Amino acid sequence: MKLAARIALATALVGLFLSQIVAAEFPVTSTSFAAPDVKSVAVEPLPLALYCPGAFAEVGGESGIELGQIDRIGEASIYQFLGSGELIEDPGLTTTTGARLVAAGDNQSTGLLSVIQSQGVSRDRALGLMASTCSQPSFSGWFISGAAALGQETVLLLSNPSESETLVSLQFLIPGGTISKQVSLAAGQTDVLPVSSVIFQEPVFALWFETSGVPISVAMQQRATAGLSTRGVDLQLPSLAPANENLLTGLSVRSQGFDKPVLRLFNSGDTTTEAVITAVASANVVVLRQQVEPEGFAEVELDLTDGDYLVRVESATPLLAGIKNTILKPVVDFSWLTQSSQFTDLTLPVPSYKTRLHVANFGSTALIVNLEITNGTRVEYQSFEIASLSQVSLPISGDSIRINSASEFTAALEVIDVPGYAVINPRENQNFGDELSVSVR
Amino acid sequence: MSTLSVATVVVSHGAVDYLATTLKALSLQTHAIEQIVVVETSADPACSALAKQFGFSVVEPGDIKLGAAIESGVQSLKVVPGWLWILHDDSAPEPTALQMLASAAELSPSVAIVGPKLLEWGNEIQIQQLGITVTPTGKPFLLVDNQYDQGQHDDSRDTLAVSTAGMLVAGGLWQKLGGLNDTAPLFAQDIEFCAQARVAGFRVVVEPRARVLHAGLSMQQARTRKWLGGSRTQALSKAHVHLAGILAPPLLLPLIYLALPLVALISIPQNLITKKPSRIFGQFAAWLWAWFTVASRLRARKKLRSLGKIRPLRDFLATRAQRKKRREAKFEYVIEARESTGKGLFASGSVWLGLVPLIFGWSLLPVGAIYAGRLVPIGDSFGSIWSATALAQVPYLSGIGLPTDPFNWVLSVFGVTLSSNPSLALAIFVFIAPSLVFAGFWMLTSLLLARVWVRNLVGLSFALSPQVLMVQAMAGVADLVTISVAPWLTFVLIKAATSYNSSRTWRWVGLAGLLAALIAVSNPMVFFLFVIFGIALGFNNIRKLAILSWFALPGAVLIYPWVLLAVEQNQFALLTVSSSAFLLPASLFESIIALSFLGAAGIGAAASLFGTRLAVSVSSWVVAIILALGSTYQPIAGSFAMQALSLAALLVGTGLFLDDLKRKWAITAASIAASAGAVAAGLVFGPLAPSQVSFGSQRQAPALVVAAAEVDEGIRTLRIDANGNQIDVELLWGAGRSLEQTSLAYQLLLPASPISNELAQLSGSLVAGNPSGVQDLLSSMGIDFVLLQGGHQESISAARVAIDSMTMLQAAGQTPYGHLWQVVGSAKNTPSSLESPSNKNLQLGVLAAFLLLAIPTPASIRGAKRLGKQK
Repeated sequence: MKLAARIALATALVGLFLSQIVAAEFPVTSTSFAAPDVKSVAVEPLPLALYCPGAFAEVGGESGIELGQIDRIGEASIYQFLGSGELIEDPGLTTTTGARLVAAGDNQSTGLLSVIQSQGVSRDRALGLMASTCSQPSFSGWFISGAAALGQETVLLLSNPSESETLVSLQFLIPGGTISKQVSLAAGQTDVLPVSSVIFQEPVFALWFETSGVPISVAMQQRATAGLSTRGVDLQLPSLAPANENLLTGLSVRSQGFDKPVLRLFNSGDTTTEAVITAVASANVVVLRQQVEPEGFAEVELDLTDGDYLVRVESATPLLAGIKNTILKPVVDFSWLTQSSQFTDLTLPVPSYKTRLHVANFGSTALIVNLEITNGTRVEYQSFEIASLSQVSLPISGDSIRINSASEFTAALEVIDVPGYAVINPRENQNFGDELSVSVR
Repeated sequence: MSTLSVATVVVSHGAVDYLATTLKALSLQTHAIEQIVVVETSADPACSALAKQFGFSVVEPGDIKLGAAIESGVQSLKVVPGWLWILHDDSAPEPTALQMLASAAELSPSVAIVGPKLLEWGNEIQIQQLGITVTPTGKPFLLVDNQYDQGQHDDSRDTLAVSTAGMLVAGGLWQKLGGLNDTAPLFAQDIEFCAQARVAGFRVVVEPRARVLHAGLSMQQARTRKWLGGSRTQALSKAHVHLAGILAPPLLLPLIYLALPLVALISIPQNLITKKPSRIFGQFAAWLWAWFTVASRLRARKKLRSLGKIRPLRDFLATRAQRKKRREAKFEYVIEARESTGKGLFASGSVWLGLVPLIFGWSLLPVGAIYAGRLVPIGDSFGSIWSATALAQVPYLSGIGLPTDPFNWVLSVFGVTLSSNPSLALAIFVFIAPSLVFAGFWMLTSLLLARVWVRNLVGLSFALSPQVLMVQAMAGVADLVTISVAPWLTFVLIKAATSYNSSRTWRWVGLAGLLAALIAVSNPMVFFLFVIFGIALGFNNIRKLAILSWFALPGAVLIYPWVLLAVEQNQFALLTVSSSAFLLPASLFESIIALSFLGAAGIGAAASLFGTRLAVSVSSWVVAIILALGSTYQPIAGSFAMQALSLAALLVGTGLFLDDLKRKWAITAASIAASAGAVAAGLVFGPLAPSQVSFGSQRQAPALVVAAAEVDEGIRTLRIDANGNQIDVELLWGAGRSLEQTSLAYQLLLPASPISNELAQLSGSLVAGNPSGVQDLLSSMGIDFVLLQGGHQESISAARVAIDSMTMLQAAGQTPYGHLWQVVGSAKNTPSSLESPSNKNLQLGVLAAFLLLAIPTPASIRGAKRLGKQK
C-alpha cells in the first residue's frame, strides 16, 4: 500500500478512535434504580407517657448543710392538656419526686397530651422560677448548659419510669476531654446526681447520656449564686441532637447593661467549624461569626439591645447551641434556651403565671398562624401573619393554647412573674404508630 | 487372459470432473467390457454428455437411490452378461483393475463378488479400503484404513464385504438377490448385499492387485445430504443400527431397540471427549430413524435368514485384535510443524514478570473477605452460592420472578475454587487479576509478536495500566473478570480458527466456549462483541466457521434469561451490567495518566500502520475503535472493561510497531519509556492510591441467624430500620444478603410483591409495640428472626423497647448487625424458589459438554504435547 494511502488510513482510524470524545458527549439516558414502594401504615401506638422531673432538689438537705443529703423541696405544679383521649395515669396537680402521666388515644401529639411543670423557688441561696415541659422519656439526649464551678451548681434529676432496670451512661464533655459515669436505675427509681460528684470546677460542660435499655427521664437543674446573693434557678430537658442549623426561639433581652445573653456552642465533630449566628428582632439584626474547635466549646456574648429575638446558628458541621439569658426583674433569674422543635400543630397548657407566647418563622416565606386560646369553656381565636425570619410575641392567659399553621413554625412560652423567669421549650409527644411510612424492599 | 463377460454400470451423481477421470480410466481397461452404462442420477446434462462423448450408454432414471440406479443400469443392458462391474463416478480403476478382478473371479466358482483395493484419489500410495467387515455390534469396520500401500496386504483374501465402488459381482447372484436394498442406509447397502451373498453360500473376496482410485465423495460429505440420507455421521450411525438390526440374534433385537436412546445418551460424553460432537446428532437421528423404520429392518432380517444360516458370517467379523489395532492406530500421528515462534511464557522466563503487578498491588493482599463500594462478601460455601445461581426467582420478599444476577455463575466458580471460604477466593482473584491479565495478554501477543521483550513490554504495560489498576483498586470484580479473561479468549479463538484439523478446533472451541461464558456473565456487551469477533475469524477461515460459531453457545445459554428480561422489560441497559457489585459510570478523561497511556498506545498503534503487518494492525485498530465507542454507553455501570480492552487492542498495534524496530537506540528508548510509564502507573494506582477496599468478616448476618440458616436454608429475617415515622423494611433469606443473593434486577425494577402490605403492617406493629396480629403475620410469612438496625438512635431505641414488649419474640441481644429477636416457635420454611429450575440443568449440561470438549485428550488431538513426547 502506498504511503499516502497509509497516511489516509492512519488519519481515518485515529479520527474514528477519537470520535469517542464526541460520542461521550451524547446524552445517555441513565437507568436509575426504582424507588421502593412506600406504604402508609396506621397502627395503634403504645399509650403516650410523659414524665415531669419533679420539685427542686436541694443538695445538702432541707437545711442545706447536711453533707450527702439531697432533698426535694416543695412541690412542682403540673399543668396538663388532655385531648380526645383517656388519662390512664394521672399524678394530680403537683409532684415532688417526679410524676408520670399516661394517656391513650388517637392522633398522638401534643394535641393528645401536653404537660408543663413549674415551681417558684424561694430559698436562701436559690431564688427563681423552674419551668419546663414534661416530655417523653428518652433513650439518649444532649445538654449544652452544664456549669459546675464556684457559684454554679448543676444537679441531674434521673428517673426510670419503666418496669425494667437500666444502665445510664453519662458522658460529661468538658473542654479538653470527656468524663464518663454510669448510673444504674432500677424500675421506677428516681435519682438525683449532683454533677460536682463527678466533675470539679468546670464552668462549661455538655452532657450526653444514653440508656442501655428502656427510656428514662433526665432533667438538668441549675442554680447560680454570687457570694450570698442568688442569681436564679433553671430546669432544662434534653435538647435536640447537634445540628447544622440551630433555631432558638423566645430570647427576650431585658437586662441591657447587666449580664448579656451568652450563646454557648459545642462542636461534637472532628473538624473546626465556623458558626454563623443571626439574631433578629423587630428593629435589630445582628450577625456574628464564631470558630468552634472540634470537641470544643465557644461562648459568645450577644450584645443585643432590649427586645424579643429569634436566633439562628448555622454551621458546616453539626453543633449543639444554647443561650443563657438573665433577667433583672422582678428577681435576678436566668433560663437556658435550647434548640426549638418545628411544628405545624402545637398544643400547650398555660401556666398560671404571666406568660408570653413567642411564635417564630424561620422559613423563607411569611406564614399564617392560627392561635386558639381555651379558657374554661371559652375559646378565643386569633390569626396573624409572621414574616420570614421574624417572630410574634404576645401575652397569653387561659388553660391551653393551640397553634397551627400550614408551614412549620417554632414556639416558646416565656414566663416572667414574681417567682422569676423561665422559658418553656415545647417538644412533640408521639410514639410510633399513627402515621408510619414503610418502604418495603 | 480372463474370458469373463463383463458389463459395467457406472453410477454418476453429478460429479462431472471425477466422472471424466473414471470414464477415461474405464476406456483404458485391458479387459474387454461388453457394454458400459452410465446411470446419471442427478440429471446433470454435463455428465450425460460426457458419457456419450466416450460412447457409453447413458441412463437417466432421475434422482433415485444407489440400488435402484444400478438396477436401472442393469436393466438397460442389451445382453445380460455373466458379471457386472459396478463403479461410482468417483472411482477410477487402473487399466488392469478389471483384469485382476476377473482373474480372481475365475479362481473359484464359489467366488461371486470380488472387490478391488481402493486407493485414495490423488494419493494413490494410501490404501483407503481393502475389504469391509463389521464389529460384533454391527458397526462397519474397514479391514485396512489409511495405511501406506507397501504391498503388505497384497494377498487375495475372503472378506465379509467389499464396497460397491469397483465391485465385480456375478450377474446371476445380482439377479438372485435382487440387487441392493435401498431401504438400507447407503453405507450398509454393500455390506448387507455381500452378507446375503455369503449366507447364500458364495464367497466374497478382495483382490489387491486390482487397484481403483476412490475419492470417497460420500464419506467426505461431498455428496448431497439426500444421497447420503443425512450427514456422514448420520449415515454411518444409521448403517450401524441397520446392520446391528439384521445381524443380531432375535432375542437381542428388542433389547437393542430399547437401548438405542440410552446408547445415544451414553455416547455423548465419549463423542465430546474425542472431539467428534457432530456424531451426537447423527446418533440421535439414527436412533429415531431406526425406531420409525423398524419394518424395513425386519424385512432385511427375514430376507437374509431366508438365504441360509448367518452363523458363518461370524468368522468374518472384526476380531478383537483388529479392533485394538485400529484404536492404537489413532495414536499414530504425523509430525506437525511448530505453530508458534520463539519461546513460551514459561520457557522464556517471562512468567516471572507476572509477579510485578503483585508487588504494586501489595496493599490488596487478601486478609479476609473483601468489601468495596457495592461489593459485599459472597456466601460462606459453594453450596450457598450455587443455590442462588441461575434461579428464575430472586430471594426477595416471597420470591420475585426475576432471574438472579448472571455473575453468580462466576461467584460459583470462586466457590468451587475455595469452597471453605469463597470470599477469600474472590479477594485472591482481585489481588492476582493483573498478573492473569499479563499472562493472558502475553499469550495473545505470542501469536502476533516474534520478540519476547516486546511481548513482555506490552504485557506489563497493559497489566500495570491505569485502566486495569483502577478497576483492581475499586475491586470491580465483573470488570476484572472480563479484562482478565478477554485476552485468553482472544488467544483461544485465534487458535481455534487456525487449527489444522477439526478435532483440534473443537478442543479450542470447547475452551473458548467456557471462557466466553465467563465473559457473558460478567459483561454481556463484551460477549456480544466477542461473538462478532469469532464469526469474523470464522469468515476469515470459512471451513472453521461452522465449528467456531459454537463457542458462543455456553455464554448465550447462560445469559439468555438476562437478555429475555431486558427484552421483556424493554430495559436494554440491563445488557451492560450483570452484577450487583458493579462500578459506577466514570469517564476515561478523568484520569490524566490513563489518557497518557491511551495516547502512547495510540501513537505506537498508528506507527504500526506503516509497518509490514497492516492487516493485523488495522484489525487491532478496528477492535479498539469499537470498544472505545462502546465504552461511552454507560447507562447503569461504568464501562471500565471496554476501556481497558480498547487500550489492549491499541497495545497490540504498538507491539507490532516495536516488533519491527531494528535500531538499538530506538528499542532502548521504547523500553525505558514504557517501563517508566508502567512503574509510574503502578505506583500511583498501587501503593500511593487511597484505599478503596477493605477486608473483614465474611458473615453478613448475626451468628445466630447464620447458624440457623445452616440447619434450615429457608430461614427468614425481617430487617427493620426505623428513623422517626419512616421505616425501611427488608426480608432477608438465609444467612444474610451476600453478593450472590443481591439482585440487580430486583433493585432496578422493584416489582410489587403480594406480601408487601402485610410486611409493612407487621413492621409497623412491631415498632409501635402493638401485638395485635403480629403472631399471625410472623407465621404466615415464615419469619424466624427480627433484626433492628439503623443510625437514628432514638428511633431504634424506641422500636427496641416496643419489640421487646412482644411476647412472641425472644430477645437475642445486641449483635454487630443490630438488635436481634428470635420468633418463638417459628415453623420450618420450604422456600420453593430455591428449587433448581429446569433451565439451570440445561445450562449445566451445555457447560459440561464444553468442558468435555475442552479436555485435551491425546487420542483425538495431535498437539504440542505429543510432539514433545516424540522428542
